[in-house]
Formats: sequence, C-alpha cells, structure tokens
Amino acid sequence: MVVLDALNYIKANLDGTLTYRWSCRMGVCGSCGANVDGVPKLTCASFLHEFKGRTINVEPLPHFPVIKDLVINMDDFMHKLVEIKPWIIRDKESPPEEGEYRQSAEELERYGQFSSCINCMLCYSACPVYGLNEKFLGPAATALAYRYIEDSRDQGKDVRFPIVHEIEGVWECTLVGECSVVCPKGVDPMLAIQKTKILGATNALKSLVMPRGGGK
Amino acid sequence: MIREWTSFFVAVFSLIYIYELSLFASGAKDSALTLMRNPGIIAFNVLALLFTLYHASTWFYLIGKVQPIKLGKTTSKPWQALLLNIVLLLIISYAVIQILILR
Amino acid sequence: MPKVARLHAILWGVFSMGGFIAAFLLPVLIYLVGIAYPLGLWPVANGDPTSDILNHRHIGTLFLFVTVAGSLYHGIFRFQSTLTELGLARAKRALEAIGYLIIIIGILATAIYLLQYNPSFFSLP
Repeated sequence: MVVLDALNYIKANLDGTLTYRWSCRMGVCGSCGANVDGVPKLTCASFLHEFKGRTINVEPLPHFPVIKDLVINMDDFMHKLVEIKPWIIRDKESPPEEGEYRQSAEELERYGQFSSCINCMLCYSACPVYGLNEKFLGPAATALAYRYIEDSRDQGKDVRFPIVHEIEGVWECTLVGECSVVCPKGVDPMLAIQKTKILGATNALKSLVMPRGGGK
Repeated sequence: MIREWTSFFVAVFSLIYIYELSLFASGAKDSALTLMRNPGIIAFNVLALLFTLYHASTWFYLIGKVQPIKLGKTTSKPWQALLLNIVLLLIISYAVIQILILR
Repeated sequence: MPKVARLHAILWGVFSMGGFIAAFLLPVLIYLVGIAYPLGLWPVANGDPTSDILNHRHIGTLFLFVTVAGSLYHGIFRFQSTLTELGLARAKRALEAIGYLIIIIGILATAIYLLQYNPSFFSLP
C-alpha cells in the first residue's frame, strides 16, 4: 500500500473535499508529486511500510504556488518546458517518401536516459536554487533540452543553446545535486546540466578563437 | 554544502600564501616562516588540507560521472575515475616534492 | 549566445580549470608550506619549502603561480555561486564585484611578488 492509497481512503471515507492529483498510480504519469515527510516524492511510489509507526506529513510540492490542498500551480514549469522547444528541429525536413531519420543504438544511448522524464516536478521542489530564484531554468527543462541537443536527428543547437546558456539557464546551478537524488526515473538532471555547462564553455571558447567558423 | 565550503578554505589559504610570498619578495623571509609556524595558522592549514582533499575527491567523482571513458564495450564508472585520479594526485604530489624540494 | 552569457561561460570554464588545479596541485602545496615544514615532517630538506621551490627559477615559479592563481580563482568563484543559498541574494552583485576584484588583485600580486623574488625569470637559463 502506498501514500496515494491513504489519500484515496481519506477522500472516500473521511474528507471528500481533499484535493490532489493522481492518475496512473504506477509511477509513469508524473501527476502525484507531493512532499512526503519533507521529501519530494510520488505518492504512488511511497510505500506505507517505510513509515511504519509514524505519522506521515503530506504537503504540496514546495517552490510552487498552491491552488488547493496538494494541487500546485505548474504554469512556470509548463512555460519552461515549452521554452526549450522539446521537438526535433531540422534545418530542412525531408519528405516522408525518403523514410525515417535513422539512428544507431549508440546514438540513442547518448540521450536515452534524459528522455525518461515524466514531468513530475520533484526535481524543482528539491532544487534550492529554484526555490530562491524562480527564473532559473531548472533541472527538468535543462535535461529535456540536453536530450534534444544530444539527439543525432536534431539540428536545433542554434535555437536551444542561447536558451540554456543564458545566465538563468545552466549557470545558476551550483551542483547541489538534489534533483538527481529525488528523480524517480533516474534521469539524472544534474548530469545533463553539467554536460550542458561544458558544452557552453567550449562553445564560448570556440566562438572567441574562431569567430567566423566556430560555435554560435 | 560542505562541498561548497571547501571553496572558502581554498581561497583563504591562497590569500594567506600570497601574503607570505610578499614577505619573501621583500626579503622578510623570517617573518613569513614565523607566520606559518603560528599554531592557529597550522590548525587552519590542516583544515584547509582536509577540505581540499574533500574537494579533490568530489571533483574526481563528478568528472568520472560527466565524462565517462569508453574502452571497447565497457564504460568507466565514477568510482573508477575517483580511484585513478587519487593515484594521479599522489604521483603528482610525489613528483613535486622530488623535483622542487629534494633536488 | 548573448554577450553576457558568453562571458559567464568562459569564466565558468576557467573556474573548471581552477578546480583541476586545486585538486591536483594545491594539496601538496598546503602540506609542504603549511604543515610539513612548521611541524618538521617529511620532506624536510634544507631551509623552507618556498625558497626550495623558488630556487628552481622557472618551473618552481610557474608551479607556484599556477597553483595559487588557479586555486584563488576557483575558491572565490565557487564561493560566489553559493551566495544565493547563503541568503545573500540581494547583495550578490556587489559581493560578486568584490570577489572579482580580489581575484584580479590576488593574481597580479602573486605575479609581482614571484617576479620580485626571481627577477631573472624571463631571461633564458
């Protein structure tokens, strides 16, 4: 039994007004994020036996405005997801008759981990920098941007680099690492942010050394 | 947070040592050596060394995570990078002592 | 890349190099000048470590400059990034300016003092 079952029990038997988000109840939809005993977790993945003998405190995810009970306003997060343009950008789309854009297993491995994000926002709740500065692009959005930057089919570096490499992009990150600790899908956004920083630094260096030919 | 506080010790030690270099440059070598023998400074240096080694370990582990090396079919793991770089650190430290002190 | 972010990217790159310097070169320097010699531990050779190092006019001077400058830069840069978490977000701009000033003065001072000690650094051996 999980915390989500407890919430459902409360709503069904004790307080019908209790309001919270949930859907798949198996850790793939990302809807049921909450602060469980001070730690951002999916309520469907928080087993009650871990809290045996204690009273569990369930609070709305921190760093987001609360709409009601455990339901938080995720507009800022949604805005950031769209901002990094989470789709394949091509210089020129090839017609369907030419077939698929082919990709090897090795090419898939370069970004596969970062495509596992279920948009649960636990990482934003765990990030102290986001808590102090709402303008920070944040873990999930950067990891998603990196997923597309590393996708061999994508040609949108020119579009995405300026977004992730602005001051409130990756540079605000101080490598706390809590985002990767709380991520339920092993995306490791901290790693994505670090790799994006390295890309940014080498890109900046290239554009200094080769202003016409190098990075953009 | 501890990892970030390593930066404080690294910066302050550098500043103390820059001051010591100024004493060497102006010929006041003895004042410099007296300063370094001050028990408070020695205690600070021990802490600085511990924090710097902590910084080094976390740094090596992170580098191992961010830049794994592919050898054929296997990819390196962060703890391997940590171990390898610690060995490298010991070799470099020994080389510094051999070349710059004992010769 | 917008101009300000590009500068920050480069500054971060230098910070990253400073991280390697602080990791590989700083421990032995702290040990030598701060612990081994004051306490009489190995490798006590003749006089003091700084003089011993600087007697190797070129590589000694270079070692000290790279280690001190790199570590100072790395330490202050990293400390600056924690200002927000320390609750000093409002004073961040001012504190960052002070930080960069310390870095510039520190690195210049290091170079000047080392050259004062070894004025013939730039002449061939």
